[in-house]
Amino acid sequence: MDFSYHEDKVAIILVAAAAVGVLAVRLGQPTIIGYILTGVVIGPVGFGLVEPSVVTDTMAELGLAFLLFLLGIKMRIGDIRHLIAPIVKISIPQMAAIGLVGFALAFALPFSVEEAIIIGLAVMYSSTAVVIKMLNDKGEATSLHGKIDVGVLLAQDIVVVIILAVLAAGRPEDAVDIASTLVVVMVLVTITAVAAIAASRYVLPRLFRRIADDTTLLFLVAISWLFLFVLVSDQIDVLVAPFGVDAYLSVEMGAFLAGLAIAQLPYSKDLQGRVNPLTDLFVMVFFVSVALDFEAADLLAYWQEAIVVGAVLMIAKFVVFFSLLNWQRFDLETTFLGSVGMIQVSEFGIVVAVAAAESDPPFIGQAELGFITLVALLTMSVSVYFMQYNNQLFERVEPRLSRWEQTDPVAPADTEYRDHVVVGYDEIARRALRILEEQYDQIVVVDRNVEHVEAIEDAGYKALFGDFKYQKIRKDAGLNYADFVFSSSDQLEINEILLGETTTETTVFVEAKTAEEADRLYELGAEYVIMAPQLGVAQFIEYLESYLTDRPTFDREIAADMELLESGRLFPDITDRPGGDDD
Amino acid sequence: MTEVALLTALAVLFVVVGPLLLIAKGVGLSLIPSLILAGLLVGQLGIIDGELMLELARLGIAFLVFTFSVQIHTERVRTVVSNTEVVAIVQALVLGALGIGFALLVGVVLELELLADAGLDAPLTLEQALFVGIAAALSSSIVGTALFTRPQSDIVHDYLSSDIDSFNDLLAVILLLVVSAGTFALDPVATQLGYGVILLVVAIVVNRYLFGIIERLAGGSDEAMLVSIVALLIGFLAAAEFLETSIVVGAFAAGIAVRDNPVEYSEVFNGLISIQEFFVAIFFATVGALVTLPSLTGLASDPSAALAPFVPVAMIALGLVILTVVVKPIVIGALLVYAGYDRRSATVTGLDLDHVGEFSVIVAIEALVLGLLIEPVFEAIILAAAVSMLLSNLTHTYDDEIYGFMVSRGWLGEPYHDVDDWNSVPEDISDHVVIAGYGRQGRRLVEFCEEIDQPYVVIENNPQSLPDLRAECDAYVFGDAIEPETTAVANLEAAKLVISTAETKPLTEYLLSFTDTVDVIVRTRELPMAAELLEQGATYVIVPDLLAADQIADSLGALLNGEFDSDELRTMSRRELDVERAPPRPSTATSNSSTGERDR
Repeated sequence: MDFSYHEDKVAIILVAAAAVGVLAVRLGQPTIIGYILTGVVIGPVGFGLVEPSVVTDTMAELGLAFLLFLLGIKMRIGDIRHLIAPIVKISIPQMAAIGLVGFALAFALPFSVEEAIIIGLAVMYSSTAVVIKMLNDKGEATSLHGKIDVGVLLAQDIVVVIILAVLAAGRPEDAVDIASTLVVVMVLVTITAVAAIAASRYVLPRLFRRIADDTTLLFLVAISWLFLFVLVSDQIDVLVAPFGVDAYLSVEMGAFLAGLAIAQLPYSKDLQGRVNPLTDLFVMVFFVSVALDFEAADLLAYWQEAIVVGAVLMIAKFVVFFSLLNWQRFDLETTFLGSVGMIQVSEFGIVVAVAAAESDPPFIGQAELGFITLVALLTMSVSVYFMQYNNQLFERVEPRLSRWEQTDPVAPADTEYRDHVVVGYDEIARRALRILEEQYDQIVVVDRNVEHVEAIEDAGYKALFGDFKYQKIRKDAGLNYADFVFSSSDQLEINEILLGETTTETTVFVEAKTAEEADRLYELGAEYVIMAPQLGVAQFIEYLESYLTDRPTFDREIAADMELLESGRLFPDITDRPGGDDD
Repeated sequence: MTEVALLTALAVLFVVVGPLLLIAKGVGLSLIPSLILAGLLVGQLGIIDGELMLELARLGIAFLVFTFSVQIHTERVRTVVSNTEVVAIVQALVLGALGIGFALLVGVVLELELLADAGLDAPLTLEQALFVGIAAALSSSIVGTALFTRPQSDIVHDYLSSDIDSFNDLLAVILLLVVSAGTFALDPVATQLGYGVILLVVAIVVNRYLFGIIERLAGGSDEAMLVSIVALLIGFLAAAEFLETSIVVGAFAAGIAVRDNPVEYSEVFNGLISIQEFFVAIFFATVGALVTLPSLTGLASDPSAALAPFVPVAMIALGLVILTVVVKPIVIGALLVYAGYDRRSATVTGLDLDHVGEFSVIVAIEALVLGLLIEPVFEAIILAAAVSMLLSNLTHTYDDEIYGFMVSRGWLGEPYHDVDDWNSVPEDISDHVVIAGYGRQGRRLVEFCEEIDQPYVVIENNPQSLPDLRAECDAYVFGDAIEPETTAVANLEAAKLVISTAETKPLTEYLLSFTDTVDVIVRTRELPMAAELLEQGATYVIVPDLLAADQIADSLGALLNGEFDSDELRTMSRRELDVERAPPRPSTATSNSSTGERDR
């Protein structure tokens, strides 16, 4: 058997993309740009080193599926509920307006009506990858403008998924055909969505609760769940054929709904951290392979048009967003920052264009696909700089925008968890909680054990299911703002990370296994290092001394412990523990 | 059915994997046999293009070997071979020889056509037999530890099995490097070793010079770092491919090239684990899918014709299963008893290791890909791996019952060669404290007893602690605390108090059977267990965290009340640490560091 052929292609793609990606990071460009450029350089446009193969195509498909799966997992309805109304009111007119601008521009240039429609449909969205990445990098993801942007992006993504499904159905013959395709797609999407939501309410909670303690199992079952939806949407034509219906559902839609079902579970945050790297890897292959299909002539066929359209679109997007956010009564700063981030054309625009070019017969040719890709590339690159310097820009232009200032703007929501964090829940942390709750109002407990999390919530504390190893979890717990951190994990790595992310003002208690580890943790700035077995022995020897010298004293000393031990409950109500032995 | 798109094949595979994993979790089976079984099921559908799938699957191997070698340089290289490693080597040699012998025997039987219709297309040569030997010899843990982090334990048989396992891993990597030479002939091996050395040198150069540059260039971006490390791995794989050596060599070298820095790049290493687990799952499922079982329709119409090609596969597989599930525990057990371990630890360790290792599967698939291994032998090894892993799961769950059964049948002989050699307990001792276990806790208790002149007896079954016991303890019994002989020598029934510092369930239960005559204090880490143990008559139950909590509550309370500030707390607690670290007696300093790791 000879395996080298495919592997070489994958190797070249990955190595080249990594090199260019690292370069892009150095130059402050989004990595996506680096990846697409890699495709340009190593593909037929550049040196012609690589052509798409079965493996790269599959990885690229997986990349898209994982990207939408990840997006679905992030859709915690509870987190954005209060913004849903303004977001719907912003995103729908926004897409309509930009779609029209795109169509008009394309129509004015030498494109056919059909091509112009596709171009209009492709340029409506802003880039999830660019915006979310920039927001994360700048720590603005939880700010009000960040939340609005993310909400609008999600709304746009739903539209993308529907449009992809329509495109997957092939070229419509007339309006009736479009309508019937749309109806079938909507019905199928609705059925799948209802199935996903029903599963997330009735099946998944019990299923995932049983396995959540085992990270690997949770991860693999979640992937299996994703592939179930991928398989169903991929094979839906085979599945519904017996009923005489001709139907298509995009793999992306299936992946998104699979993620959505998981998002409503308490384990979604943990899974995000696990799915993210795979997504990064496959999405990279996806972006590289975007350009692999192009000849140089195709990508640059309309380069002058692309510059004009890109420039006009960026201005149009900013103006549309600014007016809509202003109309929704957000304050001037939020309106400006929220708009300036959303001026680029999305990678989903390329996805839509690819689907349009691959549909049979194609809606657009390779040159038009190249045009849309080029517009996306240009606008993404420019927008990164606008986002990078958004605050400075706002200071400059603020005086000139004062007439749009709101008298009674929507108040930004409070950021949660400013107070203190407890990591990992065990007997030690339970006791500490009881003491800490007298001093602090807001306590967050992070644990990776389902029973613990439930017990913590029953006891009236905020609990976060997840592994502290993941940055996502640490961020959600607000580690950098914590006044007090109590880690009852004895994993050195976790505690080192924790100490690295807290400031000197934070009081940190951590656990260690050995004296050497304890030393290291003290050096890193821990206030107190707990060595549980040693402390436990010390306490036990006190008891033993009483036992050997004066039995009644022993009985008295262990009385409080015995009561707890006899209860046999993992987490007896925190307040009913007699406090006699605290002092 | 025809082959379908790779994406669809992958989807089908994972759709089958999910429910099977759930069932496996429900009945307490481990991950890898479940994955192989899922692959077996999907494989019978005939929709998988084995060659394409293997390509993704081999990324799984690459990632496995890669993660293994990333960790290598963090551990100190030792030149001393411990006695458990001697056991591991002898065990591997004995089982390897038995496996080779058995396979050759099967070859002869087939050659002589003693079985009608059952034959192989190719003869079963010594080369083929070698792989059967490897499969019989290695019970590796690379995947076990990579996929399930095993809790560290102070229980003797637990660390024995993990010691033997990790030594097997090392053997396996070396074997893989040899196998990847493409043949066992000396000349190519030398060339391949040369290439291997070149790759390793490149890897070390990358580690020393290039990796720092990559780190700087990535500029703290986790994504750039993750992608760079993956690219590094793939680059080495491509280099290995170019040199026409195995990707295993490439992956191994790539692991050496990457600096292990799990703290600074925690997200990157988390990411690598996710990617690894994804591809490893594909790997084991694909391995299962490559096995062809006799088709059911064929069986119905013409059973003998359908079964004929399967007979040799089944014969070899059955032989391998017997070798690993029955013979291997016996060999390991005998060797461990010979090395001084008690018969319980030896038996239970043997029952932990009675499977065809995951690494043998990798060796087999590499050999298949390189054309060294014929398909029937490959299938036999995979089948044996799946079956023995499932059986191993059972024997592991019921190891105490199996041990009890064997003792009751008298198969294990007497517990001691001569019990008098192994203890120093005064005949007339009474009103003493019996301390079961001489780990860190046990030591502290002994020190305390000596301080207050309380007579005590220590019971310990780890031969590695024997020198310390002799040097430090006035009265000790070296042996398994559960054996009646041991408790008799310790004069347990005349004791004032029994304290167990070990958490093994059989030991706890055995000691609690004495509660009518003595006070018994046992230990558990699970709070809910404690109520049950008190019910069974325990005087007190040591729950280490509960006890520690009492102590911490004092410090925490004082800090929050403002009795002292955080700097004072720091200074104070660091001083306590010095006391903790200082060895109580000079002679224990070395043994402390060797057993201390296992205390928690």
